Amino acid sequence: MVFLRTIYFKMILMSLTFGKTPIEYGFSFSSGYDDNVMRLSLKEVSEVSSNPDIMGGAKKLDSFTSKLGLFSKKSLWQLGKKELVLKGNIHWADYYHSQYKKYWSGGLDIIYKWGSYKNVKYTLRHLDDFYLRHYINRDISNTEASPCLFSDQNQKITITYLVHKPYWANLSIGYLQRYYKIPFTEFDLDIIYFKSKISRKIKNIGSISFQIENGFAKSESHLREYRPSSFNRSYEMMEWFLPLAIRPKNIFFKEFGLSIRQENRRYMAEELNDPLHSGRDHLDTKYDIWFKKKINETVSATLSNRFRTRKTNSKYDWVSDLKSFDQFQVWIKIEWEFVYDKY
Amino acid sequence: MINIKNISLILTVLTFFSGCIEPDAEDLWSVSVDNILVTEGFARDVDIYDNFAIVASGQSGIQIWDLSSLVRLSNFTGYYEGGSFLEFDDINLVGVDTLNKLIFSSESNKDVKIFHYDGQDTILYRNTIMSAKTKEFISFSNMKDEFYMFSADNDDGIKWHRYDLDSTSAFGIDFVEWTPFGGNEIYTPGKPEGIDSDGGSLIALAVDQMGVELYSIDSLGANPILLGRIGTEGNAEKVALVSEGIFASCDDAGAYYIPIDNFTEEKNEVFRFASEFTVDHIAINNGNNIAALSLGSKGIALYDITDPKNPIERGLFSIGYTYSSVFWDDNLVVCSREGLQIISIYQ
Repeated sequence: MVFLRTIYFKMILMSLTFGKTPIEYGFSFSSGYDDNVMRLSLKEVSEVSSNPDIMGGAKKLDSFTSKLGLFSKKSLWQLGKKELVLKGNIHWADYYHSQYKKYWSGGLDIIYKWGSYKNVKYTLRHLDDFYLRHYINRDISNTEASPCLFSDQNQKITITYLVHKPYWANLSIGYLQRYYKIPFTEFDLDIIYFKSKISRKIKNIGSISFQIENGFAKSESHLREYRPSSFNRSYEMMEWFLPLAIRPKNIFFKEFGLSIRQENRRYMAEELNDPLHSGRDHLDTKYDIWFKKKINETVSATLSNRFRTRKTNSKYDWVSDLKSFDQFQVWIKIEWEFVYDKY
Repeated sequence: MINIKNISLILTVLTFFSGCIEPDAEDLWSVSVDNILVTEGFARDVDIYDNFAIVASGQSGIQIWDLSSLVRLSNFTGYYEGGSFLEFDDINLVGVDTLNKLIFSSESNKDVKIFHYDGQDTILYRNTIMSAKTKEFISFSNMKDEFYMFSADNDDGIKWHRYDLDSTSAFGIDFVEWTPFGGNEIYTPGKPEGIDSDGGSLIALAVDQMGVELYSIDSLGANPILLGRIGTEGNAEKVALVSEGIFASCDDAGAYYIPIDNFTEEKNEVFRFASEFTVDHIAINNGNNIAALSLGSKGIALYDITDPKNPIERGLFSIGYTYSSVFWDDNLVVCSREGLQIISIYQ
C-alpha cells in the first residue's frame, strides 16, 4: 500500500510538472463528528456494556474526526476543444476516539475531452485499511474478536455526453476489489458495477441528477475446499441516487444542496448453516445536506450533514436486529485552491 | 509531441502497476470430508491397523471397517459367553493387537474385555482384565502370546501388567484366557483420565485436576518411575506423547504442550493454546506437524505445531459433535456422532 501511495504522490507531482498549461492545486482540511463509528445496531449498543469486546478496545461509540487532503489538476495537452486532463488526490483520515480507524485514500483521473459534456474518464481510487469494527473470527475462534479492515481499489471508465441541451448523461462501468485484511480474508469481494446518470442544468437555480447503479459482488471463499468460513458472501445490489444542487445568486451561500441515496443489497447465500447471510437483504439510505460558502478567491468552506439508516430484512429476527443501524455524521471542510501559471 | 509520448508512456506504466491489488493470503488450512462411515451408534473411539478401522461405535458395539473400500466388514453388537449372547451396552474404547489377533474394548467406566478376532465374522470372548473405571488403555506386544497393557484407572492410578496366553483343556473343553504376570498399580493423587506411551521409555498420564504426570520405564515390563507432575488449568483428560514433550487436552481450559525437560529438570515451562475451547482430545501427526483437537459440539480445530511451543491456529471446522481423532497416513479419521469421518487436510 505504501507503493500505491507513492504512485498517487508521484501522479500529483507529475501533474505539476509537464505541459505548458496552468496547474490547479490545493489542499483541504475537514473536521467532523460521527455518532456511530462502528455502525453498531441498537441491540449491540444496549449490550455493549456486558460485551465490551465488540468495541475493540475503544472507549466510545462516537468519535471526532479529521481529514487532510491534497489535490491537483493539470491539463496535459490541448488542441482546440480536445484536451487531456490529469487529476490526482490523496487524503488522510483520523478518528480521534477510534484506535483502528485511521486510513488514507487517494486516486487519479485521466480525462480525455472533445467538447462540452463530451469526455471519457478513467478513474482509479484506493482506500487503504478502512476499519469497520471488531468481529469474532470464527475461522479460528468462538469468542476472540479481531479488528476487521479492508482495502478498496476501484477502477471505473465513464463516458459523458450531451443528450440534448440541457441534459447530459454519464455511463460507467467499474470494477471494485474489496479485499479484507487477515484474519477476515474470507470476506474478499470482486464487484462489477454499472452506473447510468442523467443530469439537467436548471437555469439560474443549479442542477439535478438521477443515477441508477447495479452491481454484483462475487465472493469466492465458499468455492474452495471446506474452509472454516466456507460461506457464500456474494450479493447483488441496486442503488438510486438523487442529488439536487442549488447555486442561487446574491445570497450568502455559493451552493447548497441535498441528496438521497438508497441501496438495496440482496445476499445470494441460501445456506442454512449461515443464518447471518442466508436470504438477507437490506435497504441502506443516506440523506445528505450541504452548504458551501466561498470565503474569498481561494478559500471555501462546506458544512455537510449525513443521516444514514440501514434496515435489514432476514427470516431471523436476531439478524434483522443485529444488522440494522442508524448513523449521523457532520463535518466542515475548508478548501484552499490555487493556480500556478508561471511556466 | 515527444514530451506527450513520454507522459503517455509513464501514465500507462503507472496505471498498469497500480491497476489491481492482490488479496491477502491467509494461512488457514482447508479440509474436505471425503467420507462419512455411518456407524449408527456414536463413533467414540477408533484404532487403525493397515487400512482397517476398529471402531467403538457406542450402542452399536464394535465395528470393523475397511477404510480403502469404505465397506463395513463386521458389526459386533455383543458376544457369546457360556452359551449366552451378551449385548454390549455402550462401547467407548477399543484397541487392537494384530500380532495376537486381539481386540480390546471397554464400556464406559468398566474394565477391559479381550476378544479374539481373526478377520472372520465372529469375535471370541477371552476374558476381562484391568478393573472398573478404566478411562483409557494402551497395549504393546513384541512377541506372540504376550502383550503389555497400561491403563488409566480412574480410582487406582496407573495399572499395568504383562499378559500371557494361557490355554488349558478340561473335560474336552478348551479354556483360553490371558493371564497377568507381573505388573502393578501405581497410586497417584490425581484421577487418571488418559494415558499414552512410546512403549519403551516413557508413559504420560492425564490426572484430571492434578495435571499431567510423566513416568519412565527402563524397558517394556519394567516398573514405571514417576518423573514428575505438572499442574495445568482445567481438567487434564487426554495426553499425546511426542519425542520432545506431551500435548494434553484440558477440557474447558484448552490444551497444553509440556516439554519433557519440565519433568526431569523441574522447570515450569508450559505452553497453553486453544485456551478458549473445550478440548476433549488431541491427535498428533508428527510428520506433518499437525495437531487435531476434538472440541465436542464445536467440531475440530487444527494447529500447526512446527514449533510446538507456539502452536498456530489453522482453522476451526464445524463437522458435528466430535469425540476423538486419529491420523491415518495424511488423512484424519474423526470419531463423531455422525459416524467415522475421513478428512483430508489441505495446508
